[in-house]
Amino acid sequence: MERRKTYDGCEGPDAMYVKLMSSDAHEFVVKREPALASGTIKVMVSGPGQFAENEPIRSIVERPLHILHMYFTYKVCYTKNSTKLPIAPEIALELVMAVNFLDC
Amino acid sequence: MGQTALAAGSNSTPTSQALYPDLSCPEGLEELLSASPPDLGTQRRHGWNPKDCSENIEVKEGGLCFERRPVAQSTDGARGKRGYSRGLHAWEISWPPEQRGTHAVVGVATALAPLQADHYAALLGSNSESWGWDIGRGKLYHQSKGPEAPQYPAGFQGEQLEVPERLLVVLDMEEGTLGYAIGGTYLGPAFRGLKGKTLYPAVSAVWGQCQVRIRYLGERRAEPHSLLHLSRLCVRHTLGDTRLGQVSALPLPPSMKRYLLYQ
Repeated sequence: MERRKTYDGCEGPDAMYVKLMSSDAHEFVVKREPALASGTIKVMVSGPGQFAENEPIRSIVERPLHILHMYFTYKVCYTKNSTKLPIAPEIALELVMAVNFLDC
Repeated sequence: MGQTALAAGSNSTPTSQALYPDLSCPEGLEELLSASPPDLGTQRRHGWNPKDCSENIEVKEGGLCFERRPVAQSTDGARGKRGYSRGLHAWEISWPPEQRGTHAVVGVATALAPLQADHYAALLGSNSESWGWDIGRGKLYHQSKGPEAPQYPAGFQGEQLEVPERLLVVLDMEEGTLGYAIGGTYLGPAFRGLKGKTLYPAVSAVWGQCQVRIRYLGERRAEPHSLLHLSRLCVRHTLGDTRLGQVSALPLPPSMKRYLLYQ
């Protein structure tokens, strides 16, 4: 996954959005704050350090990233009355690997 | 730790004013009780543990029910299979009134509480590892042998609430309280100070051949599960109970395989 902030709203440390790009070139522009649910993304966006912009870290394809995006919203909106987050069985293994890396 | 909280049940006694109008119905309890109840498989997973009960107790129906064998001069208890340290949980205990005898206590216990005693007693709540409501005498026990134990609900002053066959146990591990509900009315927190512990449903009984049922009603969590755990649940569910052994054949690093198997 590469992290790239190239569009308006995605640039700079105070950007409201971050752009997540999968290794198969799908892009997700998500609100920055909920995305910090991922410990890894939090490290990536919080400043200089081990993750350089645009550098692919690990191959994560689009399908688990789609669920990840849903999870950020799910976590923010979670109340004690929430229903389940739907995860299609066929992506479960990829998701386990991707989420282990992303720490959320 | 675990001191009792006295709360008045103002609903059913029009004459007595609530001295402590703090019924503090746990947040989320209404939603929990109005949601569709868990299926039998889930109820069994949260039911009585055949490996964690007195030797005089026989657990039946996969955990939904137990029967106490008629052993003389013995008090016997059972713990649920699951312990709770977070979230709001509720379960229903069904205990026929004619099968309670002198000491019928319903509550929770840590993993360390003893589940058998060689005399008739209110075993649950007699030590620091358990908390119980004596549904015959109406008293609350924790680290207590009985005589000075407080009454619950507190507002009843001498008249005692008759506890019907079914009662709800409400454990709020976010607030650290244990309370009970009868006929849809929450009676108030019975015990406080339970945060940070891991507590299991528990009862202690003296009546020979009594049958005590437990029906887990569900959980309200304070926070959502991590996505990693949700993914794990999905993988396990897709494999099903019979194929969990095939986790070792999945294209995953060993640490992930162990994670999927809760190791």
